[in-house]
Amino acid sequence: MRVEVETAVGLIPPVPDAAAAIDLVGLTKVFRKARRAEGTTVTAIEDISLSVRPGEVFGLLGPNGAGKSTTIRIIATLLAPSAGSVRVCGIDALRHPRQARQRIGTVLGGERSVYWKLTGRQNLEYFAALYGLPRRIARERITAVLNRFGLRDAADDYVERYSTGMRQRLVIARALLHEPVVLLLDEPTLGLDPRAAQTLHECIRQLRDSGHAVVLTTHYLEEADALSDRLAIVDHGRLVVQGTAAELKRGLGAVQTMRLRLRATHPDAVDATRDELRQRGTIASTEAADDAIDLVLRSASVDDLVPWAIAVAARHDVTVLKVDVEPVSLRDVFLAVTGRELDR
Amino acid sequence: MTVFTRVAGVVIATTHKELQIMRRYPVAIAVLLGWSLLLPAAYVAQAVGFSGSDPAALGAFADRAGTRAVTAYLYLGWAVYLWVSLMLWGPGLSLRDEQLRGSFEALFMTPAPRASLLVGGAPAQLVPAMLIFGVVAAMLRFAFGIPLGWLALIGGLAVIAASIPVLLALGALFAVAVLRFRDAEALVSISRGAVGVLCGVTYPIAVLPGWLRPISNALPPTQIIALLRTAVLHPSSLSGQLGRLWLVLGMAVLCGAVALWLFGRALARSRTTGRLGQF
Repeated sequence: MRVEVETAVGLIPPVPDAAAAIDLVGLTKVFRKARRAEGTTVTAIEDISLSVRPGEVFGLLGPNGAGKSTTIRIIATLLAPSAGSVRVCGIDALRHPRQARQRIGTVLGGERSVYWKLTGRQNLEYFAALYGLPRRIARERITAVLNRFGLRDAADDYVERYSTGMRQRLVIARALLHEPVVLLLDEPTLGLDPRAAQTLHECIRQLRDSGHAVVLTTHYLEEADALSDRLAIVDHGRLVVQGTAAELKRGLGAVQTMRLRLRATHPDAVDATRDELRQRGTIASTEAADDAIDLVLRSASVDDLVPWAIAVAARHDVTVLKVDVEPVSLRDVFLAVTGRELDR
Repeated sequence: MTVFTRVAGVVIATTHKELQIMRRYPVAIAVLLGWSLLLPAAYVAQAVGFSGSDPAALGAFADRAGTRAVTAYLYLGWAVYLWVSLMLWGPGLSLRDEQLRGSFEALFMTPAPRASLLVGGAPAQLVPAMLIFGVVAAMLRFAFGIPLGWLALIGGLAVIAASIPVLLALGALFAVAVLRFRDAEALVSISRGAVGVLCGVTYPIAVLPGWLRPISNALPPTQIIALLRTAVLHPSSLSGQLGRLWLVLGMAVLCGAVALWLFGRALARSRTTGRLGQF
């Protein structure tokens, strides 16, 4: 179910930005279904407009199938859009894909996309040739990226002996060989252990600091929050909202979120409790969970609301089984703009 | 940098990469060389078993095949068959492997010319191919005592060199078909069967039904096998085969152009359907 967004943060109008590393305007992709399938088309993304500047990490946040990877593939020139335009460093990527590719480094599908039967260095040498780098420059760049991503000591080991995290770093190193302005990272931490993910986060921050425009897709809220200078939430192929994480959270008009699990002997008691809780905030969601009710209250109050909420519940003969309070997060933003939790 | 130098750079790099992988698995090449010696030996034994050294049987064979040298005939046929196998479905299977591995899209995200990706690692297959021809030549000369003079060796090498373009082009066509149908195994079986039955690998195409012979003659491997046999077994007659040579080169141009056109269409289609990296 979609809900109306009660937020000051709206869709940013699609204004082409001359200084942008990436400019997407009205991007739409409609796939034709297989002949025997019901219906004739599937709209993967619809009217996506955004721009990303050099030295910025832009997060595309959304559940699986939301359209994040389709957007990345179109920017990477692997997929042709049904409508809209893509400019990479001012170049029309649809009319001049080769020039655009020279300015883009892409990490798709993770660590499977390297040659396991070659060493890390041999992988990089091959791709340096595909990017047309002269040998001397290629050697220098390969040494530089191997050092940068902590792979120098393993450079001459076969990739089949690398850990998942090392392979993922090799893929990113490969994407940077030709020193692209734009770096597209599609779910880069998928399958990584927390430590490897942390190392990768550090790499991404360094890339941002060295002037790369990074587009990062993820369905991890914490990752998007921690890494993105600006982010957009994509759901059902549409860009629902975009801005900085702080702007999106401010847009909710709340500073804290309280999650309560309640149990009552009769349904009216829960309704009465909910009505009274509304005095200090808005009820973001109410869901049945086994024999209890999960309720999310968002409040602009900075006070500790837990004692008050327990007292309210007690007044209506409702038992509080669990209560959590946390500052407003992207999880709340996602819930507010899509009407559901990210992982459901 | 011109398109030609860019294509050449990518082909050289891909060949180098394939050779690096090949070098890791010398057993695969040893097995291939073993096959190039053992498989024809089985057919030689079969021929001897069927008719021994009966002059009438050899005469009948010579009438159809143009030579009485059954052993050399079979070995050269099989050498070309193995070579065609390497060049024809090597690139297609290699692209299919890239698709299955997940590295296929990574190649297409680079600015490398698309045609160079289509040729891929086919030139690397020249290394095992030359080993096959070398081993077969040594086998014929030293094990079976068949005289192979300089003229025969030079003629043979010239035929091999002249047939590289058409095999590259056919390999590219095969690769496009693999990308389109995403089923390399079925295509390999069909191609392998067609070459084995129609191209005169182990018997002269004169024994085929009349309606099949034009089809057989239109297939480049048939022409390559015939040219190589002439060059090695009757080197002085090679100059009479210029028409056949031009035909092979013409087929290279035609097949190459068709492969490039189909590849362009396949890529455009996969950019629309999103099937480039799917398997």
